[in-house]
Amino acid sequence: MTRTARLPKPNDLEISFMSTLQLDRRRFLKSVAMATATAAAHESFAATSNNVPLPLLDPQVSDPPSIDGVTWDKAPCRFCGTGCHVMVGTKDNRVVAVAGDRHAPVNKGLLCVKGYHVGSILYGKDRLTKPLLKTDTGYKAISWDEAIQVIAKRVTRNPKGFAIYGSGQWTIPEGYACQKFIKGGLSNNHIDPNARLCMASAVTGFIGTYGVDEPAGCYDDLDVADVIITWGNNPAEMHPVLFSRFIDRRSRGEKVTLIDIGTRRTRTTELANEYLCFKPHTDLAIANGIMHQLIVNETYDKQFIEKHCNFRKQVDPHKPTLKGAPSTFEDFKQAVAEYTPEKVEEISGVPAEKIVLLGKLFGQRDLRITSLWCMGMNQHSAGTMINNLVHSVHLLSGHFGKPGDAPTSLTGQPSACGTAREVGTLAHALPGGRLVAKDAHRHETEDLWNLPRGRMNPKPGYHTVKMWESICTPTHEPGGEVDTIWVQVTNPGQTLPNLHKLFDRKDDLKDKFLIVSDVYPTATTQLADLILPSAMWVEKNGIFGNSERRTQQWFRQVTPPGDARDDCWQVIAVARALFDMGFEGMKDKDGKFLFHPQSLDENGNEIPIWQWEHYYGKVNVDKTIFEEYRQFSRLKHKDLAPYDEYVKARGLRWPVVEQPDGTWRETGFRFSGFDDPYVRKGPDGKPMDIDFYHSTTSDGRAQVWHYPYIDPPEMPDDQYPFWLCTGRVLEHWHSGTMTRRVPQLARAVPRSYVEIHPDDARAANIGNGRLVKIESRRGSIVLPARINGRGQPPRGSIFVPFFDETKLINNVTLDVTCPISKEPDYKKCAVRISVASSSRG
Amino acid sequence: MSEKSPENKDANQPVVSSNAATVILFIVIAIGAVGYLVGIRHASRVQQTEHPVHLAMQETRQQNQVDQVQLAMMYKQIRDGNLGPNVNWKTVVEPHLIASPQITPTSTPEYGGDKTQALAKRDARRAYNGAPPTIPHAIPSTSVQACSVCHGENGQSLRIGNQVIAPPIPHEKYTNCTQCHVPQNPVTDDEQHWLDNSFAGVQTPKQGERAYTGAPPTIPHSVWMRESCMSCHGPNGQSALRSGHVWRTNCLQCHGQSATLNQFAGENQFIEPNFKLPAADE
Repeated sequence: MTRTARLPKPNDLEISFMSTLQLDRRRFLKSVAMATATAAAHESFAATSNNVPLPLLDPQVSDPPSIDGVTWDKAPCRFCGTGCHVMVGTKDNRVVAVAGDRHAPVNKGLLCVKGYHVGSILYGKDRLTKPLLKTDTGYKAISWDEAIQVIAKRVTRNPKGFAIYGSGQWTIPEGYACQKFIKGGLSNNHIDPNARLCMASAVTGFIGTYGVDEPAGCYDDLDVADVIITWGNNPAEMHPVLFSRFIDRRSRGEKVTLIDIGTRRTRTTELANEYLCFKPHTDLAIANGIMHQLIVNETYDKQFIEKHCNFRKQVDPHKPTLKGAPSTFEDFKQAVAEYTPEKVEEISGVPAEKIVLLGKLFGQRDLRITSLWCMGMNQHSAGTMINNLVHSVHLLSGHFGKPGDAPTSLTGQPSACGTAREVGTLAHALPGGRLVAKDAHRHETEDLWNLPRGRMNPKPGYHTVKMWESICTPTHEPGGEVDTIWVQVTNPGQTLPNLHKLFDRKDDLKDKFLIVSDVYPTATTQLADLILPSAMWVEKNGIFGNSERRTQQWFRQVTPPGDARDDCWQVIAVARALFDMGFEGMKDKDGKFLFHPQSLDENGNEIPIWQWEHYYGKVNVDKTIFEEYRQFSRLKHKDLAPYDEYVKARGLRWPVVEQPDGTWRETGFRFSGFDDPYVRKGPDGKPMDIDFYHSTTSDGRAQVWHYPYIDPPEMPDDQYPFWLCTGRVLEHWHSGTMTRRVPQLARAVPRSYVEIHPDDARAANIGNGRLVKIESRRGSIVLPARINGRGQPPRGSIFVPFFDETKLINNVTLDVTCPISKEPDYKKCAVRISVASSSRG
Repeated sequence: MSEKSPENKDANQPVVSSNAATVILFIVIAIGAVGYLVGIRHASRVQQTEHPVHLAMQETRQQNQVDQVQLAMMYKQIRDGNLGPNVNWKTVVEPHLIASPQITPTSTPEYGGDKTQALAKRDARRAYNGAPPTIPHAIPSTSVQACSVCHGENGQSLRIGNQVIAPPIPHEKYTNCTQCHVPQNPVTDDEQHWLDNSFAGVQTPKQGERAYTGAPPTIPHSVWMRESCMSCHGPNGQSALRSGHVWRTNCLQCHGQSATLNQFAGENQFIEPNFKLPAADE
């Protein structure tokens, strides 16, 4: 007999772990008894403790709906950046079913467990349905008119101190409206998305290498690649549909080699051909080691380098800049010379022969190699550098620009690309890849928005960490000028690093004001002065942009509960209140309302879209905003088609270019002559193979970077001897606000935990399920231990998922950022562990 | 030759004992032969009345009794095997234990029963009809192969009597089972609020439509992810959901699908005629 399956160890069982862990004996017996009684009542149920039937019925719904009369419409999934399309079944103004969209090229009908249950996120019992204002006696329900006035007054009180903090879950029109409101209306640039915590390093990596943001490749690469390399990435849990897209090829008899370069064993590792376990932060050395192998074996792609690349370096690696300085191939060779396989093994802990193996793979021209990464490389105190290095590995080896050959970063949010990166809802950016600091870009924007010259502020606003530092600093002190933050579609009270420093201190500063638009109570609403109930997902029109440059549109399919309203409407309503108060910034240069172009119906009549009853009326505000926004998309050749084209499609990947016959064509492979219409023609009159037409060196070439391995700012020492890494689990998305309210998902992974290596656990006298205290220099937290679970860190490392708002691991994490991207490092800091005194064991 | 040498005398003894040995050998062979024939007869009789898996199990148990070294089992044997702490449990249920029977005209499984109850059982593990069912038991955290040991492909499944213990997988093979199917932890009294969600999903439809009495019913659900009809409607499905004619293998020959549920709706059904149909009374 051959052992194909690893037999489960008792510790390995997810249920037995949780049931012994989370319930004391008495409660556990009781729940078993309850379940058994229920099971006895329905004799056909198997009598197991886990089989408590779910309450399927809302008292408002008399009978479970039947399939007859269900209406189906498309929508992108609400969760991650993969951008799966779902078919949403609605009946009597409620979502009643979901199906994978078989016409969607992204997911081809398949979803993950979150996607299948996405309909339930609308129906948690504690949906926010009324604006709530904090008073001395607690929160008081107020009307929308009052709420809008409160915000308008906060703005007029100090327009320069008013900031907006949003996310990659903003729809494109929502982000665009906030962008116009802050940068065009308030003339300050204090707007940043949580995407700063998520993919800012990917952005600087792309810009530093190609001169323009976002991946050149696309998901089609996954259908043909021979080798997939995951860099600190666990797509089996975080991008399951993409993972299945390539791993299921094996079931069809294709050979797919998966190489997992990671800091802990995951479900992705289980299906990998090679697992390279490296010490945190030393991926810098591994990338250098691969390039060293390509050079010494002379297997780098000489032709590709000669035709398409320049070399680049940092003058002082300790003070890096986005642009760096020019370098040469000779310089480069010398710089990587020290990264011999043995040296890399010494730094990273990855055996030298595995580095040689990677070097050999990249040295083979006939293989198609796709690299995937997400937070592992982005939430990295050298995030820009490791991004640049992985691009450089692909460029040096010529594994670029052919289907299957691509360095592709994945995003964590449904519109991190669409809203944060393309609309440019960042403190330094303007729509379409423009920068606030560039006069020409500002002027162009002022013209498109019909604003007087000089309205816009050339000084970049505060990025995320600085913005929250500012609201936690007294207003009269330097750096404390932000006194109001309006948070939309995100949960910084849970997801910012080092929460004591960047969030909790706001509570002591009485002149600061926090406005939170959300759908449920969260860790952020805990400190909110004004809470606004928002519409979510298919309760509103929307447009997202996913990881592969795909812009996806959907229509509202049910109405939001109570007084919940669209985030976009909220911003336009405040802008109008300010306009009515005579606030200059809300007028264009002709004295018309800032959002006047968005209020015009097809006949050119102005509709008062700032009044909720007119918001879904004669004007589709999403469409009027998008039609204005898409004029910005040409500069960086990220051309967007008219809104109506997206209504017909399951998303289109930009650049979407109009064809002579009037149809619109999307682009799969950017910079590749066979597909990208913007690749210039060569002397022979045919498109060049590859053309980096936004090159920072203006010569059509990409930059191959060198950057040395430098130790991270905080490393384990005698006092704090463990690495802490944080992340997600398959069942929960981000801070769990939505997924923890879905019974099937909440019951699958009810609470957070800490993964520990069995030897470390033994040494610290920690048994499975025992409560463990985790302490860093910044804070501490107590969590149950999980040994040999779905993720298995090596000795000296622990891992904690961040979804649980009752166990804030970000009290422990470090707020050091990448010096260029300003993205914090959630993946490593130094901690110590001990048995918690209250542990029952 | 009056005096026989002791050697000779002694030499006779072996003759006698050799005769005795022959007799004993004969008896042994005879018994063996009879035993063999009886054994064959017995075996063939048993085979006629009992399922071969029973024999396999009896064999396994006999081996256990004489404490022989056992060969490791195949995974498929494990599910039918007599192992560890479940020995007694197996003995109790053994009379009801059958392995997946072959689908032949001579082994019609029983069908019928309370369909409402069978559908309620389906619904209890699904947020709505079409949702991937949750997993009602503990699972290994990392091993995906572990699933297919019991939840077999090609309509094979683990059953006890009429009860399906591990339903077969109704869709084509996907590698990452936990992508869609997740286990459910018990919920205590003070955690009941976790279930405070008023999503009301569509029910499993009770039946398809019939154009007329006696017409084959249409399929009232999507066949996407339910490509293997036999998983639920075959001999391993719940009896109330089973087809009454499992020996017919080409289900879609008679049972129509729904274009809407299979997501093929939306396109024009006919070409646009280039004339206008006159009204009937013109």
